[in-house]
Amino acid sequence: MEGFFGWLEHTDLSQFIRGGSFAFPLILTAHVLGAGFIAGTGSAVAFRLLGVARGVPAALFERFYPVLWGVLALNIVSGLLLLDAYPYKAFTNPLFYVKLSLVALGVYLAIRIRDGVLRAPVWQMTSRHAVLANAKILASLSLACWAGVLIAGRLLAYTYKWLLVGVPGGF
Amino acid sequence: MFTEPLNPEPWELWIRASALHHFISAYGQWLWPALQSIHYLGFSLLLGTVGLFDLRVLGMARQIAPAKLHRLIPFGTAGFFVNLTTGVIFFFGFPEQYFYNPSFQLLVTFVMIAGVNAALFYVTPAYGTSLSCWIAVLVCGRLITFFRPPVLH
Repeated sequence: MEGFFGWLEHTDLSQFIRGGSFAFPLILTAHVLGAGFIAGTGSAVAFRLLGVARGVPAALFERFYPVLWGVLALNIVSGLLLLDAYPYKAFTNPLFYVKLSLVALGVYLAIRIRDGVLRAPVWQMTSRHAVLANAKILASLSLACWAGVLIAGRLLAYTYKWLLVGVPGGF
Repeated sequence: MFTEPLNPEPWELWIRASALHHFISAYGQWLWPALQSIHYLGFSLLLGTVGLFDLRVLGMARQIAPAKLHRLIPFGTAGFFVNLTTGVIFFFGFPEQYFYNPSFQLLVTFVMIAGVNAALFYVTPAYGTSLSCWIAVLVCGRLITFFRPPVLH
């Protein structure tokens, strides 16, 4: 795999993003901004399910899901560009895999919350308690998951072992 | 890149002599990443509450009553104060790295505009100012590190 990463690091795009220009800072900034919106929106939905802003029908929070999906799409693009700039740095850091897993779990929970809670028919009173209990569990997991994504993402900058193939990190 | 005075100003010497500065210097290796992580949670809280409220005010999710959605705002306020606190600690850790940094100076400017705007919102709402300002704050914050002298990266 080192050979592949070494090759990738020498492609024009990879070198351009890493080079002294403003490409890397701007892509990174867009990625962090997006992460803030994704985690923040997911958390807002979770707060509602945990009992905050009860005046807003939970179902209406689905109206904010386009923020989640739209920004997620942007962050996949910016993430791939950052990965293209420093592939070896990311793939040799175990925390990177933790972060990716947490993102996947967060997305899965967001879908479960949408389909199982926000779209749950509230008129089915017999199942109402089950839906609410389930909602609180999903919301708590979702909150923890998005917090984990941000923490793991931030800590990538302090935990990488290699900057590039053959170039160790400073830790 | 920025320039700082050859000899530290009195305020910088005062900060460098403070207990907080010494504490950060002593435990920075784990304290700094931990505080940075908390700083990320803080702005995410702000974007997810104030940001969504701003999007509602701008016309998204019109079925939601803004007054009801406003209940989320205290979480954003909490996020702001978490970040103000962690931000002050960062400043005490490396005062000259922030004070003379144009990206940090812009960040402070946008925080002040956002603050005045938030106070005036209930009098004369300036649509879009809040969201734009907080996004600008995050952008400036993230870019601070790229304006540091390369030696200290």
